[in-house]
Amino acid sequence: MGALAFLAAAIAVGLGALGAGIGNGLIVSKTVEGIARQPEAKATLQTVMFIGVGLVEALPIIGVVLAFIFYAAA
Amino acid sequence: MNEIPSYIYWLTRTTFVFLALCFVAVAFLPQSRPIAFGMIIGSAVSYINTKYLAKKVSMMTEAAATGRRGPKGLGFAQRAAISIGAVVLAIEFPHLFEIHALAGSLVFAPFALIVIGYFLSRHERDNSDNERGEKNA
Repeated sequence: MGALAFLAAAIAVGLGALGAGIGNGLIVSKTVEGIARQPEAKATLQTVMFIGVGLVEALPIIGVVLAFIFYAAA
Repeated sequence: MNEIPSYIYWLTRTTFVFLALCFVAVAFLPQSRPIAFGMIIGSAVSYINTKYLAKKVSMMTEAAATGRRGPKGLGFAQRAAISIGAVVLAIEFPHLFEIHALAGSLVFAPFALIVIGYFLSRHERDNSDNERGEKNA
């Protein structure tokens, strides 16, 4: 159980961070690009970015929490 | 118009209603107190994280619009640290906080934001339809 719990914690944190990194990068780059092209659309893009980043970053935070639970159980 | 303050306003109301329900559960269901306390801590941490994210997003988009130097990141490390703090609290005091309830309620604010966004956009669409109807009439 011990080694497998550590492996599960590492996979949860690593894959969660990888997905969130790619997702966040795409969201922020497209939002900044959109605001630079069309500054009057800032409010709409800002709101969409807020909800998008909030959702994307919920996953790695849960991954880190699960990793701590696995770590404590090991 | 900046819509983030209205999202935060409705999120604050939703979170407080949820916290009130959890406290009612603490008062009337003594056997499920650790679950309710875990949900209280988790949703409070989730709310703080979302407010911090809103501030960072505003700073970043403001910097993109004005061309000034913005923040270097969205503060993921700080938000993850707050969440880990809550989890460590639950690991240290398992008789007070149920860790699974805490972990589940850490995603309370992001999912509440989806529901709030749906209702706000529906409200906005209804308002714009009404204005168009008045213009046509």
